[in-house]
Amino acid sequence: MKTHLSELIAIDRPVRWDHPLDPEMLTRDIGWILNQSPFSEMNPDVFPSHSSLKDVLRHDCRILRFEPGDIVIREGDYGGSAYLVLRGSVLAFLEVLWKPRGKPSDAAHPSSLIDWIKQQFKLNPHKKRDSSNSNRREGSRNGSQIANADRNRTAPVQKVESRDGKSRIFLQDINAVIDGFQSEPLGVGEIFGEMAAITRSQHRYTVVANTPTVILEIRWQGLRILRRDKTFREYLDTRFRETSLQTHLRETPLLRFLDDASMARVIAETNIQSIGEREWFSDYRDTQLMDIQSQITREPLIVSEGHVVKDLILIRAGFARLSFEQGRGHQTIAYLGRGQVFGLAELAHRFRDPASKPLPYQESLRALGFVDILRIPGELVLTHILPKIRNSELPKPITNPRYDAGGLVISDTLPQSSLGNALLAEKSLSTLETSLVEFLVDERLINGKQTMLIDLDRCTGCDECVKACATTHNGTPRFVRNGPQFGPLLFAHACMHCADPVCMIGCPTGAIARDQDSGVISIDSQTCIGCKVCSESCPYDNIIMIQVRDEKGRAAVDRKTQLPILQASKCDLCHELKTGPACQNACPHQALFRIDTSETSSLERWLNKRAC
Amino acid sequence: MAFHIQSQSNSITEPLNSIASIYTRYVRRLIPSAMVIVAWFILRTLRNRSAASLQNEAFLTGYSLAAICVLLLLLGLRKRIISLQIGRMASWQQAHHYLGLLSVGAYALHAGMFTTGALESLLAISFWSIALSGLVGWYVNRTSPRLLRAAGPQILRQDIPERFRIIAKQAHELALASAGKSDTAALADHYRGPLSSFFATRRGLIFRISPTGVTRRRLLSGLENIDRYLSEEGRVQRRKMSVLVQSKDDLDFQSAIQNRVRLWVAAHTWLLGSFLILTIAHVIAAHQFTSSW
Repeated sequence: MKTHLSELIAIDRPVRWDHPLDPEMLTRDIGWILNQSPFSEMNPDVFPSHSSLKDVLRHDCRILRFEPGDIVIREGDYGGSAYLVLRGSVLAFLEVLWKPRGKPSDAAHPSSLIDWIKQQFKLNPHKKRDSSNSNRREGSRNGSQIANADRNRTAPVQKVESRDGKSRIFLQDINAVIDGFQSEPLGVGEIFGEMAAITRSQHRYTVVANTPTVILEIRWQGLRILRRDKTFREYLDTRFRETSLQTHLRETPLLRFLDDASMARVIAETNIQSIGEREWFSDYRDTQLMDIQSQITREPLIVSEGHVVKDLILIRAGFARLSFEQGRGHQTIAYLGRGQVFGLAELAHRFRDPASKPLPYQESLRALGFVDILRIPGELVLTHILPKIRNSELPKPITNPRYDAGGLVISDTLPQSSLGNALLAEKSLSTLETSLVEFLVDERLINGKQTMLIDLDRCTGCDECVKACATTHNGTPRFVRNGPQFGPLLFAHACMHCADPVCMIGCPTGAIARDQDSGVISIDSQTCIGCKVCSESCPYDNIIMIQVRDEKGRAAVDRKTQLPILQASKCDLCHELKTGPACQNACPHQALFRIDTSETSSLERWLNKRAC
Repeated sequence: MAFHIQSQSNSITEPLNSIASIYTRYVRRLIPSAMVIVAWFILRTLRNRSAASLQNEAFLTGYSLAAICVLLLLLGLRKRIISLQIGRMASWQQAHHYLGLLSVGAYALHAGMFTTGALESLLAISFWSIALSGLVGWYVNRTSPRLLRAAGPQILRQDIPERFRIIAKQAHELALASAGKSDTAALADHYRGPLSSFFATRRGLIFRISPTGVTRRRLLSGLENIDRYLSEEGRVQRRKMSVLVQSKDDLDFQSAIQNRVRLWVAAHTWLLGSFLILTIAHVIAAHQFTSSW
């Protein structure tokens, strides 16, 4: 293709709502929706004139029709919209219908001969963990007997059919599925899927139409505007808290052996707490300039070391820093993410030896940006949860406490490393060296699900990766082979497809979105209006603005102002290529990798492999 | 204390991990090396049989060599194909290395170590040059990461000129600030000597091919020697100047290593072009002037 890089082409500057969610939405439909709850109770005056309630309904909503058995949302898919039932009813399945989908790198796909041998002889710890994980997720909360019975149930069969020119996924024999799996009906005026849309995460349940159903899909950009209305906002917040608390507790492996009565009590007494700001990136940019100890002390403190253990803390979303005081500063020993618990070792210590004085919290827990936690009262844990957990699953006893009932333990026999060793013995925390953990936390690389890691002991700087990226993306590379460096590890400026993608928060058009299946965050060039919100929100500078060019390579300028038309550009993991990321495949020295840094095990495995 | 209930250890896998380590370190390299040796022996046996049956064994070894060269050329093609699932580039590069070794063995069987005639000699020089450049490339690729790491945080090649400019400006401003004051004037005088050209110009060809720390040590030693003419304030400025010298030298070093990586690729490719032309001429001549296969 011959390019004309110096030539310009004048076009109209793209604006918000150039591409409505449903271009065929009729004024009559909008009028009908406005008469339905909760819109009929909303105050239209709270919306600004440029984003009126009608505008939101016209551009950010669409009406969907489902037949019984049709799947509306599927557990594990990433959410970008909330759904409001306008007519009919749906069923939200509280249990897992299908096993979680594995990645190609999972144990089912051995990457080397040794992996294959381990798998054949059932010695692969990853596989074992995967299977225990799937059991955990499939297990019923009604006890082990029912959990065993559950394993004999067959997973519902999904079928695809074409209806009115559109593909629909539906469950075969919906009645059998309803009988076999626990579900909750949702009727007219009830909303679902909003949790995943607000937190930019995966759906935690599957929703299937129960009757002929009409549903209003509201994409999260519209949902954000609708939250301006007080009634709607309060309704969403209440529902968010109620459903997220229940869903999370039911999925927590620690509680999997609880009977219905105990679970109900735990749900009733557990508090959900949001700490920090959801838009944490702006504060992070400011604090980055401070020294590290000032940064840590500014982080919201969840629990302070040496204090009496009142609650068991479960991380529901976000990340928290686990640290203890060291000299005049704080030493970070780990970061906790979704599904991890804090305070269990201290409570288990008390459970094993009720006669001894209880130990206080041994470390401090601080919110990294934003974190959602659940607090289960310690007494409830001692009486209802710990008696039902196998001894082998409990943390090892704390033999050398840093704090006891009398306060800080000052002893010559407790060197600095002994605490670390005690933690490592539990096999529960990272075995990464402290400085690497601190680096990952300080740079907030803990947010990355697909962090680009370059091994500088192998990289020659040949730029084959950059060339491959440019070739795949019309001549413009979508990452910079530079970034924060820890020893021989370079964390390149490439989109990490974060666990908490804050870049998505402000996008006014929904151009930046997460793929429902793969979790890849990509920017739709058709709907991006070049407002720069995402690039300014990204705390890692991994989104750049580039000038729009047409097929002939001509740069686009605004017809009115003659200013360049820009568009956001970032790594899309080459999701259209079967081969995966071109950069990784093109590296001739096996120096470039994608690692999930949101949990330490991936990095540990990679570092162990590297050491071989 | 934090605890994650999903984490379970499996001590039974530890011996297997050690086996994995041995496999990764040695077997992964031994298997292809053994394959190269076996392939060479097969080719030699076939050549001997061909010679024993009074056939022209040069055609067998020549076309085998040509086939290996075609396989070697595929690496360049692979670099341009991104969307097809044809293996990772690193695997192709490994295969290229081992095939390169085999090609040297096949060449020795085909032409021996010494050749006669103008075209044949040119072809031999071309082949050995390309083989040598490949070997140099392998060495450069193996050593560059370690050398680059030794020169501090990696700097992108395109950013280096701007860094040069900033360092030169800082050195110039430091020298200007030192001039005209008896406490620090010696630093400004020294800057006018060897330092100004060091900061203002690029390093010579020899440094760019094989960078060493000779100039750096000489300049730093020269700077330390003027301490006796400086006051305490002057020494502080002198130390700043030493840091700038080290920064510039590190940058020169990074630039040289990064350019060297690109240079050998270019050299390998250019030599390949000439080798191809000579090979085609050689094949035509061989068929033209040989009576039988």
